[in-house]
Order: sequence, then C-alpha cells, then structure tokens
Amino acid sequence: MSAEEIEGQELERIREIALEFGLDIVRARRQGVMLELSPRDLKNLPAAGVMAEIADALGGDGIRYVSLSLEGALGEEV
Amino acid sequence: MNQQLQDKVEKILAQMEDFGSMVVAFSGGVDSSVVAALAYRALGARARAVTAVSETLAGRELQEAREIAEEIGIEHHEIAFSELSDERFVENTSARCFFCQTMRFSQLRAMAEQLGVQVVASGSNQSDLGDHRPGLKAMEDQRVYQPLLEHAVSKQEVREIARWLELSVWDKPAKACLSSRIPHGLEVTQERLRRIERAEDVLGDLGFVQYRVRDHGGLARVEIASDELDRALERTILKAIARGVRDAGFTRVTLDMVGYRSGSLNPVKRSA
Repeated sequence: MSAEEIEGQELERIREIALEFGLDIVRARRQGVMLELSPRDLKNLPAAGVMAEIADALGGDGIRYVSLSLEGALGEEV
Repeated sequence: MNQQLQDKVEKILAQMEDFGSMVVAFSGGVDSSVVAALAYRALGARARAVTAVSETLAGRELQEAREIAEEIGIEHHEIAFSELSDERFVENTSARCFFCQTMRFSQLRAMAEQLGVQVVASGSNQSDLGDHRPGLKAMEDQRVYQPLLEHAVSKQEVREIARWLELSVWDKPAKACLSSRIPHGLEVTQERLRRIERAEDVLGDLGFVQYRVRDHGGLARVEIASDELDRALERTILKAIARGVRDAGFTRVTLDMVGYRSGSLNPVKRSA
C-alpha cells in the first residue's frame, strides 16, 4: 500500500491543529488508516501526553493511527 | 495474595494432582510460567513444559523460556513446527490465531502422547476473554486444559500468583507472537517476521520494556508504552530508533504518537 501525500487545505488544517499543541509539521501523508506527520525538526517535540492529544484531535474519520515520521532523524529531507 | 485467590490456587493444584501428569504449553511469559510452576508444584517430574518453536517466536523469547523453565525446575522440551507451511495462516485473516493455535496444540498433543501424558494445559486467563482471541476457540476444540480461565483468574491475579511463587517473570510485559505485528490482509512472511524481530531487538537493546513494531508493508509504526514515550522522544533516542529500525529492513520508520496498546491491529469492535 502506497502513501498518499496530503496537500492544500487539508494539509493546512492538519498543520493548524498540530501547531495548536506545539507540533510544527511540514508534511503529512496518509497510508490506509494511518496518518503520518513529518515534524519540521526533532528538537523540542511536545511531551508524550501532548502527542497523544494531537493524535486524538487528528484521529477518527477513517484514521486509526497517527504516527510521527522519523525520516528527519535519518538526516533525510523532511 | 488474598484468601479468594489462595482458594483458586488450591483448587487448581488439587485438579492438577488428579490429572496425574501434564504437558504445559510454555512460552516463558507470565501466564504459562504460572501454570508450569503450579503443575510442577502439584506433579513434580510428571509435569513437563513444552515450547512450540516456530517462525513467529522471537529468538530472545525462546532463550527466556529456557531460563524460566530452569528457574521453575520443570523439565523443558522444544518442538519445531512451521506456521508458514499453512496458507490459511500466511493469508493473515482475522482467524489467523485459530489456525496457528490449532497447529500448535496438535503438535503439543502429539508430544504429550509420546510422553504418555493425556492432559495439555495452557496459560489462557480470564482477561483474554475481553479481546479478539480466535485462538481460544482452537484450544476449546483441542480440549486444552485452561486452569486460569476455568477458575476465573484475571491477568492481574496471574501476576499476584507469580509473585507469590517468586517467579522472576511476575512483571514481565506481555509479548504476543510476532505475526500480531502484521495487519490482517497483509501476508505473514519470513522476511516480515525477521525484520520485526530485528527491529524489536533494537528497542529492547535501547532499554525499552513494552513495545511493538507494527509492520504496515515496509513502513514501521513503532509503539512504545506511554510511560516510556517521553524518553523515546529525546532526539538522540529518536535517531537510534530510526537508524536501528531502518537497518532492520524497514523502508520508512514512524513513531506512534499514542504509544503501545495491546491488540492495536485487531479488528475494531463495533458498538451495538
């Protein structure tokens, strides 16, 4: 199953919600029931409890899992 | 241990003594360790622990099973079988555990017969009933003795009994078989199982206690227990997870933002 890039207004909506909780994301992808968020950087990420709140806010509507991309940790472009 | 739980243990021990001999399906987890320890207490050398070794058992788990059997003092056997030889298992429908447990307990039954033993026991407990567990049906079909289930012993009570028995695994986190990391509908393959095992070894080596690496077709979704998640979110740890899991064979690595939850890939229960 391939990942679908989320763009335009939908990406902006997701960015705004995540930013409200202090998570700055630059990219979002959807793979089946999973939403994958790419943070701007991996420094100063919100605490675990806040991450769970973000997942809760973005979950539902066919999204069962919200996951943080670790591609940035590999020195790849995010 | 309170009196009510003590009574349950006494009843189980008496029942085991009546059976005369027993083979315990033994993974080295807390549930089967408690059953094995009780069986050994009731039957001594007439109780044996048998571990069914297949592709879905992590090498680390097998080693731990050997160690806990030695700790209990029970005679330990291993039998090999291949779940991947059954297409119905490989297909990975929501009935996967039924096919797996049917194979597993057929092997255990055969081993028990070789040893001249009639009773095969498992560590299923009362708390298993609340989850999606088609494997329980297979055990019923195979007439497996399930003392913890029969005497309504919950998972928490299992841990209390383990502590009372002074078993080192009393607080060991649950570790389901490796195929439980693959969503239904994606085939269970040797390649997927081995990369999951390697990736989970990375997490274990990093000092995490409760975790799963879910395999979404090459994309790893790492689940770490919520009380360990803040540590996982430290930059240096994130890097180590990302590198280690990628090197284990995954093309993309992600960290689940909620953290570990048991059976997160199970079918969603619909409310009435």
